[in-house]
Amino acid sequence: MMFVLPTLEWWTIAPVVILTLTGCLVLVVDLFRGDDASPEPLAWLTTGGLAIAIGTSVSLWGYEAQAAFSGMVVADNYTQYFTVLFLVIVGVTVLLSFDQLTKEDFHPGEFYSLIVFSAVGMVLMASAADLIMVFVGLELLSICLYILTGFSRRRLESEEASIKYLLLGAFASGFLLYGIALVYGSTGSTNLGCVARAINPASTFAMFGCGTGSVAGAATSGLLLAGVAMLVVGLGFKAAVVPFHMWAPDVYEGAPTAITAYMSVGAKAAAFAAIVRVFMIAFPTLSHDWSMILAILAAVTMIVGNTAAVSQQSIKRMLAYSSIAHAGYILVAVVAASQVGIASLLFYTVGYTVMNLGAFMVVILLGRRSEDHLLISDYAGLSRRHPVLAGLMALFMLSLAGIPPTVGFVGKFYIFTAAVQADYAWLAVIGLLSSVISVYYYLRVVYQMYMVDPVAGVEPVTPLRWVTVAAGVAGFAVVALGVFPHGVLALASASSTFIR
Amino acid sequence: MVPIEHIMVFTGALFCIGVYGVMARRNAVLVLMAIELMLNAVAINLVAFGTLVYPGQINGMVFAIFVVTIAAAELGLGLAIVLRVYRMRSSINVDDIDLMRW
Amino acid sequence: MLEQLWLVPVFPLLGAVANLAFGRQIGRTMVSLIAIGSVALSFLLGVNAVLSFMSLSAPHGFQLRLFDWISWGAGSNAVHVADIGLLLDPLSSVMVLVVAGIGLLIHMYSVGYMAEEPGYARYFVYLNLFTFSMLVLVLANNFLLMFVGWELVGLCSYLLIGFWFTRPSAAAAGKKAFITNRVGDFGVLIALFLIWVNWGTFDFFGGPGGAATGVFDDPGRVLATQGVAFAIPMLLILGVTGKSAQIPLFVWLPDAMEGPTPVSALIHAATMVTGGVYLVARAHLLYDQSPDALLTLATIGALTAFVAATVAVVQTDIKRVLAYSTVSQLGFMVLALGSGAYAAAVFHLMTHAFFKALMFLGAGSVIHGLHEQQDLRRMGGLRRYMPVTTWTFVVGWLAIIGAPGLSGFFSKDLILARTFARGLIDPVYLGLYGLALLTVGITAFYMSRMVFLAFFGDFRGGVDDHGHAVIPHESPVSMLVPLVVLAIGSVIAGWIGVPSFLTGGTSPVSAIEVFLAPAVAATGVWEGTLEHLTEIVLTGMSVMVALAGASLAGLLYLSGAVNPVALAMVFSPFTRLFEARWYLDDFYRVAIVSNVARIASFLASFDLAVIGGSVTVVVRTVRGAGSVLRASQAGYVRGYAVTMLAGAFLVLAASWAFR
Repeated sequence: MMFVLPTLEWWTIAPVVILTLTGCLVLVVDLFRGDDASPEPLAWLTTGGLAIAIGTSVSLWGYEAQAAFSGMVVADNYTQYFTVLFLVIVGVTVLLSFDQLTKEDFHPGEFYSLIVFSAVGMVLMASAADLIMVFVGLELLSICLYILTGFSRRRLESEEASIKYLLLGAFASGFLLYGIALVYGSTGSTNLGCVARAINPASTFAMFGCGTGSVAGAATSGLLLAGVAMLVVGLGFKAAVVPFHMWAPDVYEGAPTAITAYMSVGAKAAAFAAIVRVFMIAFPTLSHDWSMILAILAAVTMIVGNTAAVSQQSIKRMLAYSSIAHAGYILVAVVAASQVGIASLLFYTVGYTVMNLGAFMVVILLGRRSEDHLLISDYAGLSRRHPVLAGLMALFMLSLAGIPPTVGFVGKFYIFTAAVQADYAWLAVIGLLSSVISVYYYLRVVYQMYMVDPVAGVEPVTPLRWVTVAAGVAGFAVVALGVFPHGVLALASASSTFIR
Repeated sequence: MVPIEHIMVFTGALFCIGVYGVMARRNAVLVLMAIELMLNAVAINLVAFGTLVYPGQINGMVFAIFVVTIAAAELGLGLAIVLRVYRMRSSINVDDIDLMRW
Repeated sequence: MLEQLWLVPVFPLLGAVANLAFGRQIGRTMVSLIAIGSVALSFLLGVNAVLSFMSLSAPHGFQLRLFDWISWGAGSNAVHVADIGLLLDPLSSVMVLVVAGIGLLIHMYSVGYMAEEPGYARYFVYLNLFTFSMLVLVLANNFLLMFVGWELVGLCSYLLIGFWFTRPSAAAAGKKAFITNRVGDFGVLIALFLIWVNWGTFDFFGGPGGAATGVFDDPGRVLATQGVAFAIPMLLILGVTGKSAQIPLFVWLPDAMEGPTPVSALIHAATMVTGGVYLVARAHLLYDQSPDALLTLATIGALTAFVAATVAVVQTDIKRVLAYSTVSQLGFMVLALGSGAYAAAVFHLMTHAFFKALMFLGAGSVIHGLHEQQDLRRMGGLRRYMPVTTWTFVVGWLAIIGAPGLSGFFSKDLILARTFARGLIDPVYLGLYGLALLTVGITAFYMSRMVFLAFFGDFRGGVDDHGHAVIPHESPVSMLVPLVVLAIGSVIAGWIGVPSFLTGGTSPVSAIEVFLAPAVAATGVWEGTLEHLTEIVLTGMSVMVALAGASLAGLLYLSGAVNPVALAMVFSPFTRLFEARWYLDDFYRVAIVSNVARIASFLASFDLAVIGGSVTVVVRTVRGAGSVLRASQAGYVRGYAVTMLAGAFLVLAASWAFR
């Protein structure tokens, strides 16, 4: 048997390579450090690697889309858009976790290398051109997150979150894999482009490296439909879509807050990056089959997420349900199944990242003493103790609720417009109604901060300088993107051209 | 040659047994084993599709190897976490792990 | 240098941001330096840009499209809504110079005036933000961005009127201004919708990078639907009556005097209130399509001028006299707009900015020197204590009553002449002309009354309300310098509009009209110019009327030949009418506020019972559902797995169902 060595286009995955090397380097450098040494050099090393990777990714922007590694990954604007977003999120997480890292005695070498490896997983998910790659990226991300969730070794909640996440995550992986196997069985390929061609020979996604030869598989069958449904389950779990969301509140509450912030924006964005790839490339011609299912899931997710958030007392749990609801909004954009819809998804992902990370920054600034300031009622009278933080928090809450002139409003506007254009007006109506519910619990935080007298015994904290600066930048971005969305929107449009 | 339908029924049954195990077992280690059953069902499925339905392709086998590898990593990690749970709570009953709810 | 035009509004914004962020830490000197420096830079760049523009020959002005602001969709169904873009043409040139120039002087004046105030940094943040907003308003190249500026100046006005928010009257006045203006803004907003529906763009003019055809490139597009051609100008007029304090919405401006005096000078005399005038001048091509809208505008202007002047006659608070005077002068501008003499309106806007800012700042200086005394009856003879304030104030007085040679003389006579000329075509305007001429006399009367009461005669305010002796003192230099500069401006600002019968030119129009012509020349059916002889006669008449008004004031308040109280008794029906501000506030209270309150209370009970009830039901349902969902999250991994499995079954079933 003759083996032809495949061509390896390393440049297409240059950010992944750089990140992997960074992670390994962090591990190696960590070996030569004393036990009590400051984690600062490792943080700088991580940040440096991230910066180089971001630069590389930016320099890959604008090239013609190219499949590489025998159709395993694809490097296009969409990949670079998400890569930069993910790496910025990881950078912010490094900043946010620094204080907890030193206070709670996390082992920095492992922490930083895990977080970098999880970023590799996310980037692979966004660049996947093959179901195998989707699976590998997802597992890489998940395994790192299981450990990071349990990093607060002294807190029972952290360890509990870790095992809950792992058991349910592995359970969901089983469904995802079964779905992939069924899709493979009915189409004869795992390459997204080939799957599309097997279902509809007219569809051409040459950029996904399927070639032009005939494909082995058959047309639509019950097997394929069952496979697609299983994929919905597996990917929906990662994105915390109802009814596969139940892990999210517990895990978000138990994880170290910086990791919660990371999961709520990074892992979610990665899940949607993969969902868009899989459903828009492999199954576009089946969209009449799955778009109604996704529409129902989106509606249920928005309703359940927003309704359950109403009765929460803990701010982290409230934000967990809020992030479930936002998964519903983003799913609406997938349902629209158009280039405009995906552009609005990309825009909303950035907007959601900015406002949700901002909210978590305030949570971290106020809750970093042994994580006990985490009830919404602990925010009472915050406007008097920390007027700047209270103002920023109010801004993030308003943005999450979707009130102009913030990015939350613009993003929702674009998504719901896309849904209406795709004849899913009823979904937009449900989205709007459920976001009315969300105003209640977001404004409850504002109400506590501004209208309620401070409770006794809650000491003012000295805000960490750099986190405060970061929160300020996020606040600025929330308004700037809300007033001038066009720049990011143009990037998002340029990143969604692979959808026709 | 075994027909593909037989294998699919078999793997489907195996998967369902795994799912049932996850729901029914209280012991965390047994839950992990049930998950392993689910993943193995998939691996068998992939290999069967690769050899019986699409002879000459290696996709199925390659994917199966990926699945086995990643399942090993995942379950190894799972056992480690279960061990820590046991050290801190002296129990590996998943129903006792309910500090966080509502 | 035109490419740097965008820096003109950006500098004050940066100043506001810097002072907002660091104002409390860096001390008052730095705060003032940042605030003044940013406006000064903006002014210099503005002058530079205007000079560059004048050496350029561009009929519609210079457009600078900075970047795409709002657009939607991709490919063939892309919709471009608006840019962030600037437009410099003769009209906005005048406005930029007025806003940045007077703004700069008032920033300087404020340093002295506000020196003792807590909230010093906050004050300058608001003032810089206002300057930014006003520059956006006048420089915007499309309706939408202009509306953003329009709303932002309203916001700044509200913030600054209520600057002393611990004073209930200031808070109430701020609210009144804001709510009254909302009525007008409503009109502007509807007009914007109609513009979008009819033109599909907000751009004033088309050009590379924007819409191919702007609204003003094709103003006749709505002619096919006459109703819209009338509706858009009328809706904009609603905005004008709010922003520029015209009947029926002028009631907020006198109350706005609760704000610090420099704010009254900048926002409520020189710049913001002229926003409505600017809006009409900018959109004049739409007004040219509708003579009915123009007549409405002219009538509103003339009536406002007259009514406000009569009310000013009986005011005793120095700032309120000036406030009603401002309303009255804005009425003159609106009258000019309604007569199609847009250039005359802009010219008067400019000269008025000088002399009214001067008088407000002078009044501020008086109030400062008398320890917050604003009552004219407690002043008198101040010329001996505060000479600079007095003589600069006298210059402003002579300018507003139209003393020959000063700025007000030229601009007011231009308005009267153009209204008269319009009257030769449409006799209704002759009546408005007569009303305006009468108002000139009343203006001379109340202004002279104020000056005589405040600066001449004997000092009547020796003891304040608490029994402390009051010795008036002159204000610090930082407050006097702007007064002198503005006094010079009040004299010479009119010289760019010297009528041709004085310069001996053959053109029937003055220099300022020639300069503004590319931007605001009327395209209507009349020419609106007069023979030189007619103009001379009209000018003579207005000077005589003004002289009569001033003389009457002199008899009453300077020489004491006639007792003002006795005279007021003789005309008591009128004085009562004037003192009650023509019962307009009362009318609003009885006819609108109480009726609205009645409707509101009905609606409130409806709201409480039906809406509130159903909301309560919804809220209970949501909360209940929330609790149920919360309870379903029992913390057991196995339970979660069951839910997931159930979900998976449902998805499978659904995929069969929707197959």
